[in-house]
Amino acid sequence: MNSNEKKVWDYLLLKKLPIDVLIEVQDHFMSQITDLQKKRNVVFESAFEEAKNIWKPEFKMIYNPSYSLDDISILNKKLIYNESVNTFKQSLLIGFVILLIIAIFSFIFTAEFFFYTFLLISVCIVLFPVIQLFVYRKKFKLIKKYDNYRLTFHQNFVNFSLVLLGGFVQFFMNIKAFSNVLYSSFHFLRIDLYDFISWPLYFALITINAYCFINQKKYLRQIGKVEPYLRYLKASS
Amino acid sequence: MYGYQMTQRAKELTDGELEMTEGALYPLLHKLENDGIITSETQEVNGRNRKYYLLTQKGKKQQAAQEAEMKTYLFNLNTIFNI
Repeated sequence: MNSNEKKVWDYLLLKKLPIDVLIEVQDHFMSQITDLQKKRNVVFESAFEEAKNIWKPEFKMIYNPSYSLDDISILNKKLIYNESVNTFKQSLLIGFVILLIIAIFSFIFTAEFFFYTFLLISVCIVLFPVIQLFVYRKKFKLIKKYDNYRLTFHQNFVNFSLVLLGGFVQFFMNIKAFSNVLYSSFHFLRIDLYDFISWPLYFALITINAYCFINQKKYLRQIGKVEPYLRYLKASS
Repeated sequence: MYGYQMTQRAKELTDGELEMTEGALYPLLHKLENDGIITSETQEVNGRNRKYYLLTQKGKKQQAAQEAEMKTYLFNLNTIFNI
């Protein structure tokens, strides 16, 4: 990175952009500055000031606690919104598909065999994000190492599956009862208060875990692009 | 094409009539990428990583469909104004 690129990099860091986006915006800035220098025959500093002015509305810092407890730029807010909505839609879809598969299994299998398949599916749902977290622990540790920066948009929920483990212990302690309630309600053998609680609860558990898993996948995809730039960041630990 | 190139190309093709703001461009590109309309690849140019965006098959189909829709719309509009 030459000195001019470093000036742009430092300026963009102040705007608290996630590093994966910052890399792209830095290239945009440099192309824009080079273009302005050619067109107006001005030095780097003047062209850089002009580029800053062009981007000014997007870098206006606002406070919106639903996105971040710190001040956040308008550009950042728009990107976070897009990414979160997209991941949430994917998680909901996964939740519905798994629930549909469980419903189909309840009609194919006996109550006992249904219990074992339900148990297997539930264990997989819980373990997939945890295993992924363990397998790529070196990559995920970078979040803590550089916790004074945001490396990608997707880093916020990657560890959430560990937080959920406590809740899942309670779920697994009552999994036989859960399985019976689901099996019975699929066969219209009973519809009572438990159905109204267990269905949404199970769906929420799948969706939240899917949300963590997708965020982990996206984080791993993006962190590969960020890693070569980590040498320009100061590690906090 | 990469982000900055898109803004310049749009400006050039429309004689400066269409100016894409940078802040609108990147959220849109990221949304289209998430929707599978475009895909991206990173290449090193002048020692910097540059992200290029490309249309996927789904994107190409959507582009063709929207182009046809827009042409029909403009044709109808033209017909109405020429009555």
